[in-house]
Amino acid sequence: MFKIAFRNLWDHKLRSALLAAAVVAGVSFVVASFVFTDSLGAGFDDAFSEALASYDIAVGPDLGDDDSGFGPPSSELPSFDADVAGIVAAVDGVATASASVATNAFIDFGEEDTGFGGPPTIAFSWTEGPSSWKLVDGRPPETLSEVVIFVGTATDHEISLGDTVRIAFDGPVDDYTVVGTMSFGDTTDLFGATFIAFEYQVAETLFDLAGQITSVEVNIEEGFDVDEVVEQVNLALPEGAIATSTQTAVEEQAADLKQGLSFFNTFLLAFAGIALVVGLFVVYNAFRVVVAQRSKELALLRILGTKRRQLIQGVLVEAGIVGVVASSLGILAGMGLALGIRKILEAIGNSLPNAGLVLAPRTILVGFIVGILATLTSAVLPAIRTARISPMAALRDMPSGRKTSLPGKLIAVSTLAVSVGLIVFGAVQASNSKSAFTGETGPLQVVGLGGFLLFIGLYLAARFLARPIIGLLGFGAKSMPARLARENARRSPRRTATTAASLMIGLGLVVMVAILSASVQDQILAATEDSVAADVFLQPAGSNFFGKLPNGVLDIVRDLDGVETATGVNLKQATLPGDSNGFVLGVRPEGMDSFLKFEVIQGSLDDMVGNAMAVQQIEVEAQGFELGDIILITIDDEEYPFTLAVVFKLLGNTPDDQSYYLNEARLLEIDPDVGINTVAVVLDSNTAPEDGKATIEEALVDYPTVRITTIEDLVAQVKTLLGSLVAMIGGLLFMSVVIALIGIVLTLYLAVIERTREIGLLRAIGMSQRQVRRSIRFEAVLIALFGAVLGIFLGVFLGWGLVRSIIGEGGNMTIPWLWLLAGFFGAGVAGVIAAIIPSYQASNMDVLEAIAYE
Amino acid sequence: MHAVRAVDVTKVFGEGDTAVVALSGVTLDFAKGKFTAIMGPSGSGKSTLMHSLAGLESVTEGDIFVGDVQIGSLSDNELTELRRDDIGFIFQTFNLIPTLTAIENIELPATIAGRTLDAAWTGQLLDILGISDRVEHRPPELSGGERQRVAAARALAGKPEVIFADEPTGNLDSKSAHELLSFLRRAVDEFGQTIVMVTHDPSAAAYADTVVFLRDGVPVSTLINPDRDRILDEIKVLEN
Repeated sequence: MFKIAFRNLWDHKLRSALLAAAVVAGVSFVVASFVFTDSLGAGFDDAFSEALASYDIAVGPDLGDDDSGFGPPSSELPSFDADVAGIVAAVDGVATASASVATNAFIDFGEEDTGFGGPPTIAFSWTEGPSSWKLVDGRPPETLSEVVIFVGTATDHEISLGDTVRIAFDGPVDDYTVVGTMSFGDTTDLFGATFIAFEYQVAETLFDLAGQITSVEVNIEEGFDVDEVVEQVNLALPEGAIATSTQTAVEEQAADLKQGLSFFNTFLLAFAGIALVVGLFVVYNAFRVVVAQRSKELALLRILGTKRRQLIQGVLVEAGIVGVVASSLGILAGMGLALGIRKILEAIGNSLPNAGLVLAPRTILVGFIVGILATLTSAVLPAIRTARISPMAALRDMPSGRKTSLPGKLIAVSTLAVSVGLIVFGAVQASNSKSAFTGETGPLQVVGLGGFLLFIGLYLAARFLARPIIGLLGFGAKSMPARLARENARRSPRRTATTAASLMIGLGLVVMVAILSASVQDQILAATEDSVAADVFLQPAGSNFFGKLPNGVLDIVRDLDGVETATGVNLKQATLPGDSNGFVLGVRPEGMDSFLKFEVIQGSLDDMVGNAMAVQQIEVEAQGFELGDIILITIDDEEYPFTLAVVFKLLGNTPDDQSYYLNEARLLEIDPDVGINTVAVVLDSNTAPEDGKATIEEALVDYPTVRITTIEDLVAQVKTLLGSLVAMIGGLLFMSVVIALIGIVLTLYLAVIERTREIGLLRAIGMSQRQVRRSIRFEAVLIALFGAVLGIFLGVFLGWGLVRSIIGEGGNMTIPWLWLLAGFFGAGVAGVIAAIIPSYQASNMDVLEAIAYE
Repeated sequence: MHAVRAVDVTKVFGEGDTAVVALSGVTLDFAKGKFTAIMGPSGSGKSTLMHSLAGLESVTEGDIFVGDVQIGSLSDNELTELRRDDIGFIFQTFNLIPTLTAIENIELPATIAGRTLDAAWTGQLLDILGISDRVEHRPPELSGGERQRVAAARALAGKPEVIFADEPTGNLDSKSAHELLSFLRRAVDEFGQTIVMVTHDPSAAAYADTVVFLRDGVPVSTLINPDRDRILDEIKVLEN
């Protein structure tokens, strides 16, 4: 059987190649996901272990049990008393202990701020002691205005030694001269992050950290055990600081990183899984057709004494060979794809640490298992069908058509009914909830399950829908080739259905994502318009979202022409009820309405003095508060009792998790350094937003750390963000669509072989090669359009359910018609492309041989 | 001593109004080491009889024995093994696997069973059939006569209890037909092979030891050591 299986594959090279291609594509995606994330992980591992090798122990702030690896969101890096350096140095076994200070900074490269932060900028003190940083070029910083920058930063922004850079901390910007470049260990690029180093005393002053340090790098004396010294240092350290051995630090870094990467990997694998499922459909269909075409030969084998089991094994062996070969190729292609992903990411401006491509044994194993299993799975049903072939089929011309069974129809209809029911139920349930974006997942899960069933139901129903829908799509067909194409596409509804269903999956998901994104976008825009009172916002630029604006900015803006009111919003990190990390906002009650559009439900803003607090209605309901309740909030490790004095509701359908508002005066009492995070500017009625923005920009020319945003800017940013999200998911689903196209090629190619005699006959009675090609092409287009119709229906309906269940009340679906049209016509074009090989095959047959074909 | 035996075999296709009786109480012995031809007009049931004898078609009533084995009681797997090990087939349309070479086709039943053929015996067969130098070719590259000789070699290679030949000369020119039939005759005379052949060609039937005539699903007469003229006479009698 092995021999026959092998010969079958070898003799039908094109068929085998197409079959394998479907599997190769799926496997390569899976492999690429692993290779890509493994390579990134290895790159970071190398970078960290190498860079941290220059000292033995690091003393840093104790972040507690925060396993996010990033610490709390804060504008400042945690610091501790400078005495700690001395304490550490005095510990037995410590050879050197060098302190350093670091803070977030901002460099004005004169480039457009995207509004989404981007990689961080870290400024720190240059040290001659043990450090991860090495001078690459130039010399260390010495004077007040000298700075050393990271090689990656210099390269990205084309900065050379002697150039001037504009750097700002909490105040206005200043000019500094670049006197050297440095690398992190040997690493010269860390995801585009920016690093700058100053002379120690200069750093202390600039960072406003006199008498404070942020870390101590320690080397131990020979003969001491690192872990023991760590223990001793920790015993000596005051609360808030902790010592870690470099070894542990590297391991922890690696673990954090692996967690992040594994999340990313799962994300990629989800799309690889979709591609594999589509591949499964394609292979299943191909094997089904091939087995049907070979039924005479298989029947002969039965006559000659081949057992059923042996026939089944034969098909599975064939599938196994395809699986093994395709997996091997898929693993190779996956490495190529991983390299491709990396090149694309680099081309659009992400820099990644380079450690070459890592092909872990696990990746190879997964590649083979996935590829072979997928191929075998899709061959199982067709293989079992071979057992039903009667030996007599070899001696008689047996009709091979099967009537569609009633149970089949029943199953399809009931699956569809259940899925539609679930989606509608989930959507309605979500619509009954009080507010938008509640984050409730119950309805979402119901809709998700419904969506999954909808895929299956549509696939099952497709074989019954194929005839009517293709009849409809090809309604206008008048010419003979077109009519033949239409009837051929309707001839084996099951085949057409499976082929179209594979296209439906990818297309349906793209449509769904497009709808979801368009609807969320509209929702956000409407909500912004409804609930935001200010015309222009001032916020910290860069990645410092929750930081402070430079002092004095509010006063500068308040007095500008065209500015009616300018209101500062103070932001303080706090532990809120429900033990969640969040913020308490400090505002002046009378200024709140120049910031937000809202309605007071209970209490009065006049009462917002002292410990009186205003809380948004959603949060009040969620926490079960009543007016007058005491709300306990922890700020800087101290618990404060506040009184719920005002319940308000934002206009429109707006979520807001920064729900706790305090009088600015009270917040300043608690923390005099809290600082203003946002300035909300209302312009007078004669000033257009862009003019107002221009005026403010001019006034704040020395404050590059301030981002100035109008509502229009915000809208544009949301559009850009969601647009790139859709583009990314579309890109990830592209592979599925490609595999579906391979499926169309394969189905038509097999159909052409099956219809050899028929095509020969048509040619003999005068059909031209062109007409044959046109007919095959139209058939491909019809199948693809059928898939598009199914996919668009699925995407729109599922999109509706998801929009309802995610946004909730008032969640209106926005249908991106352009996307739908593009999907429909794109599918048609794809059909034309898929028809190239089969139509060539059909039109180039030798007429006489074709007629004699058996 | 019989190789194959049918006892009171009835075969009905379809049910009720559309029922067609193909065989009606047929009892026949096919002697071991003999060449038997089955003749009869179209629809006489000769193909059905052969398919039933080979276990390809189940019978409605009656028993079939291949050797001592009553095949009606066999499971599908046992029947398959019987076909594989004890029965050889030659068809009108050759029925070779196009993806395998001639020699691979000949070895196929043995390969399926996980055995190897007696090389000396296979070599002898190929020599007699004159296809030794064609065995590495695939069926599409062979002439019709060559293909049928490959099929004959496949049938004989396993030294089966019986070979069923279904119109083996139907697609051959007269020269190829003569060569094939002479070979089958030799197989019976020299190697003691049992052969049952369905044909409607009197010249082909003349090579047999016995000719059984069938009409309307019933054996009507038998000729021993026939020649072409006696067969033609018998056909004329039957057609009237």
